[in-house]
Amino acid sequence: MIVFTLNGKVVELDLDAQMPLLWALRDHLNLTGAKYGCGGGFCGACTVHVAGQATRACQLPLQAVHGQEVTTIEAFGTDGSHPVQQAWAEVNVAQCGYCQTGQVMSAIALLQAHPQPTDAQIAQAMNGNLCRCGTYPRVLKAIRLAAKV
Amino acid sequence: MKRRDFLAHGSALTLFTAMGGVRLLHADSPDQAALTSADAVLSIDTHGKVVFVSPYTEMGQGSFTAAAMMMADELDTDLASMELRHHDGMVVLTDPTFDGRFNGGGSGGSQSVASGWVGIRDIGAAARTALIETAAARWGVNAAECDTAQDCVVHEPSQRKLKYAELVAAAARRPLPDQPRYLPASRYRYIGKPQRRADTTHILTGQASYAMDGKVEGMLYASIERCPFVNGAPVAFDRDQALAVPGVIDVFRLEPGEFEIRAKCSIAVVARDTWSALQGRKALRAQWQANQPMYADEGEFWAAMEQGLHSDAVNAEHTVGDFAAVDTRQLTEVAHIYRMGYQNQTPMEPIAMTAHHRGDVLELWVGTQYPSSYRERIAEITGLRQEKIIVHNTIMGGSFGRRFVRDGLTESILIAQRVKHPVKLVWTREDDLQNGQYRNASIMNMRAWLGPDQQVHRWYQKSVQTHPQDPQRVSDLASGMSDQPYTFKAARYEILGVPGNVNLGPMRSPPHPAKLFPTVCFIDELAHRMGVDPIDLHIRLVGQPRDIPQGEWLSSYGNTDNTSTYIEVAQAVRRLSHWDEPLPTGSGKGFAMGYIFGTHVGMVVEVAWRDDMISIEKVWCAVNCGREVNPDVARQQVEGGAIYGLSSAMGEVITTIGGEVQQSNFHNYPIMRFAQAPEIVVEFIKSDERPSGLGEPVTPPAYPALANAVFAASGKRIREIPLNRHITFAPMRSFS
Repeated sequence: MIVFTLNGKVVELDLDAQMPLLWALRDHLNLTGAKYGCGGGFCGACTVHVAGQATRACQLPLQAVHGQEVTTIEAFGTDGSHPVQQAWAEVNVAQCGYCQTGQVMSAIALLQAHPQPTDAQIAQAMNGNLCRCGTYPRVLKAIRLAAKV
Repeated sequence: MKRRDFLAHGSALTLFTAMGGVRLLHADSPDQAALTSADAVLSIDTHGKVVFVSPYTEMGQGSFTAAAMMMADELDTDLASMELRHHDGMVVLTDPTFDGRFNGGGSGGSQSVASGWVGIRDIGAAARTALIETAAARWGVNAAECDTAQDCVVHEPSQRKLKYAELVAAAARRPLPDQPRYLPASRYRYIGKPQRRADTTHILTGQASYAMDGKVEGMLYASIERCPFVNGAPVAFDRDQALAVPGVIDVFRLEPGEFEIRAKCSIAVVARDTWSALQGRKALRAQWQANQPMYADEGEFWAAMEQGLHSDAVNAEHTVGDFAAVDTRQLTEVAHIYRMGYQNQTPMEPIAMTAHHRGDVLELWVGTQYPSSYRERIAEITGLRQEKIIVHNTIMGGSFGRRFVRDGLTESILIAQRVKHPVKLVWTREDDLQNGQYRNASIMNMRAWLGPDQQVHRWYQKSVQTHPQDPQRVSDLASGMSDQPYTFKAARYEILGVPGNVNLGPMRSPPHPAKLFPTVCFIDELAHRMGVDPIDLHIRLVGQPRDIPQGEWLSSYGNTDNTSTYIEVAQAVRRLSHWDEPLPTGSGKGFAMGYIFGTHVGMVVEVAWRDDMISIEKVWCAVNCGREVNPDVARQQVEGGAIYGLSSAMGEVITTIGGEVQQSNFHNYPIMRFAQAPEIVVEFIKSDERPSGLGEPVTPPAYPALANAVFAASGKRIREIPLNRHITFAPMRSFS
């Protein structure tokens, strides 16, 4: 039995301990905000927070999650009121939107660690989140904006 | 929305479109036969509720929102109160001024806003005019004296006013007006003013539901192990081992070849969740019969391409002037060969869909660019009539052409026929990269004969592109070969299709990169050789302003291709990018321009050459796309289109050995990352012309603009895509 805290609530799962957290979230816990994009830790679409750190859920077997505190995009509510989400909406970042929850999760973790990041710090923190629509210049603007709030 | 839902509200004013063409009908139309294949596109009920089913699907290009803006303005209603729905393949909107290529409700070719400008506004105007005429009849006044004011019809002389809600029941019983009245552009409240995308909050909170997220009661999950090459078959696979994996429920062979040309034979694994299905696939240890690939490796493939290039074989040709009669003895011939490898669309959401075959009904949850074509394939496989096929079309996690084709659909329906549960088929990233429908590979021979007068006296180009020898497709490939803006007294354009070793499909702006990369780079080479400015040479070769007759593919994309627009965007981007100012050592700028899907683009890319590595620092784009419907989303498309093209030009290529694709994931099919993405400056040329396409036009110029910038900075002239075969790109551009 895998036991961990998910978005503030204790979750018990009786699943293959090798199953990546991503598939447990998506197929068994009905949380589809973390996306499958590559399964190899290359794209960041599945980014969640584990103990506050941006983490690729596709690379994390459930056994490594046992006893941990996991936060997904769903923890931030449905109204888009988190300052990072607000900045994203203001700058009109999203196109297809598929990678955007992962982008937002990486940005939230970055701003928790560095409330006033330099552009170079932003580039470093966001480099693991791929976006095929090419929203990168607006991601940069949105993070600069969120950092001002 | 299904017809019966509307019919249940019999008193609503409802407009339908019917498959096969524009048909506006009422719910109580006497033409019930037409209605059986029709679906509602717009409905206004007796409470004033407006429901609009967008005829175009949303894959990130923002057309869902733009369609709603056009409808809200032309109907004179409140955008925020309007309920928006995705269409399911039954709403078929055709702009009669279009050539019909996307008849049947497809979204592609950058035509959603361009054709919706006519088709959507026609429907809105028809409904608004019907309401005006209904009110006029009730008041006993001339309809010409009546007008609308947001959801109301007004008669100014008598100060009377009726809400749409009060008129719809009567309007539904009147014939539709012959002459719709269009709202004057000066009264647009939404068109031309930035509107936030309709789905922003859902996307940012994770509530937006893509096909990959679909969940249906009792659903199972499937993953497919495919033969690595076309036309192969399994020699052996361990069904028992796969079935022994916990969670695996069924394992069986799929034969999609009956429906899908050049389909790969495969083995489906159905399980209780995605992870178990993936584990089951591993346990199959499938072995495939020995392959006899068309080309053993890349060397053989490119040798065949070069042989085609240097042979006399031609599928399509076009000659200007008396090519053969030009006396070349006093001329200097410049000749170069350019090549581009296969590329993959790589949308961030891999293919996924859920299908449930309940015997008499098939239900599908999918995000597709072409829902009506998906319906046709479902009918073909299952034998079901259209009204027994229910398609729930979701937003797409990108597509770029990938979800136009039906390979995943065929697999999904075949699985659903066997498994009597809803089944979600999930493609992995590896599945998509290795079983793709790729942008074709091409090789181009460019030749120019220069005189002592610094003029081009003769021009020749031959393009060999991978393609099955299908004349129609070769004509697609050829489009854009002969209708380019440059004027030569004598020129010859030739195109040859040769069989490829992988499957081909549309990828953002086919076939334009294969045209622009060699042509624009070659003109850049000639300019450097002649010692003239590249933008000057482009403008000089365009010559006197004139209209260019467009090939079939491009004939109907809105604004006319008048060559003065090329010069306009070239000069605009020259000014915008400070082209004529000196650059720091190690920096270089490259220029490109093009006309793609009705839109003219001028682009300048600036790169820095440091430590033997290139970084892309800044991009400027001047764009004439006619009227901007949703300006900030239009800007997004320019930025994203540029990045897509730069990424493709830098390092994207699909290669094969023994017929097997060598790339598998983002580590060996690298797409541009955040730290490599340049700053992008966009300027739209102000225009009141009807809008043209934007989803694709900015991608093709990025290929030559980048290659030309690399030359300007490093002195290295690279004539091959991907450029990183010959030069290294820095992992990070300059950030403060």
